[in-house]
Amino acid sequence: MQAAVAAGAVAVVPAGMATNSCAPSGLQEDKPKPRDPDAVVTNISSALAVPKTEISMPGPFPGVVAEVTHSGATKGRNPNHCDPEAASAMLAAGMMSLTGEKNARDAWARFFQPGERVGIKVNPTGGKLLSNTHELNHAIISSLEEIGIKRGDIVIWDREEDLLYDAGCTPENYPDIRCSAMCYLAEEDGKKVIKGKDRIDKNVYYEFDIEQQYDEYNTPYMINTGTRSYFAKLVTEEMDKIINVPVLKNSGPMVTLCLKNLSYGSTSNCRRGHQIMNRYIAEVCAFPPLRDKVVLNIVDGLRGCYEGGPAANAQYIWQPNSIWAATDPVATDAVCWDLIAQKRIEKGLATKEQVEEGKKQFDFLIRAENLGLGVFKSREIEHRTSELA
Amino acid sequence: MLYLILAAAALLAAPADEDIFTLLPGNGVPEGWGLPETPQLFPREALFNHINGGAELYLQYGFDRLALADYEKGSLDVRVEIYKMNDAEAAAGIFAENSKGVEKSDKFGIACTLDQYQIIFHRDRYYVSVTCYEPSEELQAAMETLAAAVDEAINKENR
Repeated sequence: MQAAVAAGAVAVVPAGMATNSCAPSGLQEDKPKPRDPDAVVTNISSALAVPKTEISMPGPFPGVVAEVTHSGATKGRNPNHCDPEAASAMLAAGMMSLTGEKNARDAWARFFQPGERVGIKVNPTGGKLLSNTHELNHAIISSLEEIGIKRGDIVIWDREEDLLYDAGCTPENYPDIRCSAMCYLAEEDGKKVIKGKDRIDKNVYYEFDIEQQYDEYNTPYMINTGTRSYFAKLVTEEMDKIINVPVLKNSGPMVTLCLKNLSYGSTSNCRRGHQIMNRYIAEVCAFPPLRDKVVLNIVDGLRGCYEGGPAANAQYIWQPNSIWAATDPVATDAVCWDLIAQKRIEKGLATKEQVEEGKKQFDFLIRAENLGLGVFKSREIEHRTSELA
Repeated sequence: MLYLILAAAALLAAPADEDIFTLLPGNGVPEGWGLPETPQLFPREALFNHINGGAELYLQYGFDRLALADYEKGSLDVRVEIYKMNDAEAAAGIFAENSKGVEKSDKFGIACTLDQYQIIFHRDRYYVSVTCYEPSEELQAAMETLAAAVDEAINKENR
């Protein structure tokens, strides 16, 4: 006789942000008809009015993506096993390949100075099964320390603290490093509540004329309603530079990589953004807190998924054993999207035609390129590849 | 024993929303395994917090609620997720979505897929996922025992 779990002992969990996926036919829920995204009025012109800086996207290496593969980096799909030495070697090789420097220290020193506060934007939405590889995170932190960045000046961050902690990005696993989020758990009158209003910057926002009401579960995670999506103070005030470290993942027929990791991970009231998703992804990244602070993108493709993303489904996880280093998030997304698409075709989950159709439908890369954030179609992407033993 | 008494008492007083917890195996299933933390209930509105954008598809098919429990034995852990859908067709639909291109079996539920990290199956209006994070024989056995227990509980509910 099995003992059932106590039904009275329940932790009811509120909801967080959403990302998009394609709706198959025969589904029960009717979705509201989307508006023509290009007819929606946004405040993107206010972002474009701010002059770019020397380090603004796409940084000093537009159109360059440095891929490093190490066949022995991971053992199967096991999320708990990555060879730390392999991760460090891959990161160093990627940085040298990207910058042309002869040693990794010099490569890192091109982007960061001692005394700067550096944020590492991870993607923990795949939980323990498919989130950032801790060995790679530690290698990034060690590289920063080697050039004089103090551990106390480093923040690992995401939009939601509970997802961040669930994926193992905790103070225990990262001593002396801040692990922080825009939405966080707090105690109020003896109850655990989600808070975040004190962590958004009311002076910096992406605005467009679509509103969405959220229910009691979602409101705390969305933080606010209305026509504005505020940027997290983490990005506007608490960091000087950002390293964007997305995980190699599909999101339905598209991908959730550099640009999506930044745009949805840095703003409040973001779920309504799905009604103009391609614009949301591209335009949010064009605002100065992201455009002028994200100096490096390192895609964690030690493991990745070609189906089931952005959540994690073990059956669709594979181990490319690769990382991609770049200053250009658009070119990086383009290169990694091709890899995921190739895998989907190989596994019979999509045809070449469907892949091309998906890229037309999800046109955020073209939009990002048009906003000057990187290279997609305007010229050839320089995809440098190297393999370690 | 105390746990069993508490469980029984809680079941008697369980609100309808939490009935789904009766499908979760309790402590000692498999032998030596337990639930160190309270299982979680994700109502329809809260699914995004668990699987983020993956929730969209479940909601479109017709999602009711999710029960989630983490079973542990020492350093080993297995996660059981029971998604209650609006009807059997919705559960079958989600299973089909999550098993595209993967070999099916009838070992659990109406149909299942068996992977060294994950077992998924559907039966009646439930879609079930049992996941581990290390490949090992012990974990595989634990996943299969938990999957069988949930499958049996769903069957029993229908009788």
